[in-house]
Amino acid sequence: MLLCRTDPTSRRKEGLSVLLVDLSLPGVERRPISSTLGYHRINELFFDDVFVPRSALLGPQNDGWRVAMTALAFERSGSARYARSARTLGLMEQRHGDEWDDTRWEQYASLLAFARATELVNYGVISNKETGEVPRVEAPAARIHNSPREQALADFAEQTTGLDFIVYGADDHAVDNGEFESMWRNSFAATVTAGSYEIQSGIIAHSLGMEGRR
Amino acid sequence: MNVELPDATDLAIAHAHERVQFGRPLASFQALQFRLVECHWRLLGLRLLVREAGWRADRNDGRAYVVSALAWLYARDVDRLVTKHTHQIFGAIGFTREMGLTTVTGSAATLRALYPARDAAAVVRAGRAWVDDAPPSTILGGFLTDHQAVPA
Repeated sequence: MLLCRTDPTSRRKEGLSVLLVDLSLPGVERRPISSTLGYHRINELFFDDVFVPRSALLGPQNDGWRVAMTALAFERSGSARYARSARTLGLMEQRHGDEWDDTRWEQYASLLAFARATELVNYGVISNKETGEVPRVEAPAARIHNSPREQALADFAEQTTGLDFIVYGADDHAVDNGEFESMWRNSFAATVTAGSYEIQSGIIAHSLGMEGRR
Repeated sequence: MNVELPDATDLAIAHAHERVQFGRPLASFQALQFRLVECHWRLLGLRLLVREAGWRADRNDGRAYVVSALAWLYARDVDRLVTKHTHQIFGAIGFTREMGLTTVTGSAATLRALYPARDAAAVVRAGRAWVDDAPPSTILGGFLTDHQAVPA
């Protein structure tokens, strides 16, 4: 999905369109970027004189901002994300719960509470999907639950599970096929991806009648 | 607490729109907006959790105790955060009785002291269980379905 400027005289949100571009087209070059997020999690894309057919246009021409915002509202609530967190919490408890003192259990129980609240907010967005309503405020609220929760979980893991879990998934000594390691490593990006924490906050601020300044 | 925290947040939002500093309402400063935004989204999740606890209690559901305990733990966390943010929005004037903020943040603090996290955490701990060896992918899937007893 490519959001691009299709009216060169336009500014800011105006004059953009969404194109669904076939990445096998001539002139499209995809270069993997190796990063701390994992061997191959992000790419850079180059488009050199790529011809895109008219049929690639998604929604109205020059109204792509609205198309992208509507699509992102659905994309932002990630059911898989919170499901994985619930599992990871359970794995930690399975391995180490017996060693935890009362204070640690309080922290853990509070994490479960935050995770349950997160589930419920995400279910709200899923309900929006079923009824066809666009979750403009609910989706940022769900997203903004997901990301700090992932980071809180990773912080807890660092304090409680020792070094074995940071072994990379491909290694023979990886714990649970590196499921845990991947969650922990990617938690740093949680407040950046799928619309940063600050962007989600801005959308919610706007919905509360608080205007930005440009 | 489910009543007090939204009250504190509403008071702070109203104050942020009304109070002008450096020629602009407080609500137009992004650093302050983000504090109010966090109060708002935390309360959204908390409200759902409290309603779920009530809904389950009404039905004598086997997970009503556990969800109540989770709601209480989350309410404590959200309360500390809302108290911090809303007082910061009000500044020094927030500590005067006329503003009404200390009435709500003060009584929430009393509730926190009366019902410590360790009791709720004990309910949560006693209710943990899952059927097969692999932990479930939902939070409530990790709890007994008939957890009625409150541990001493």
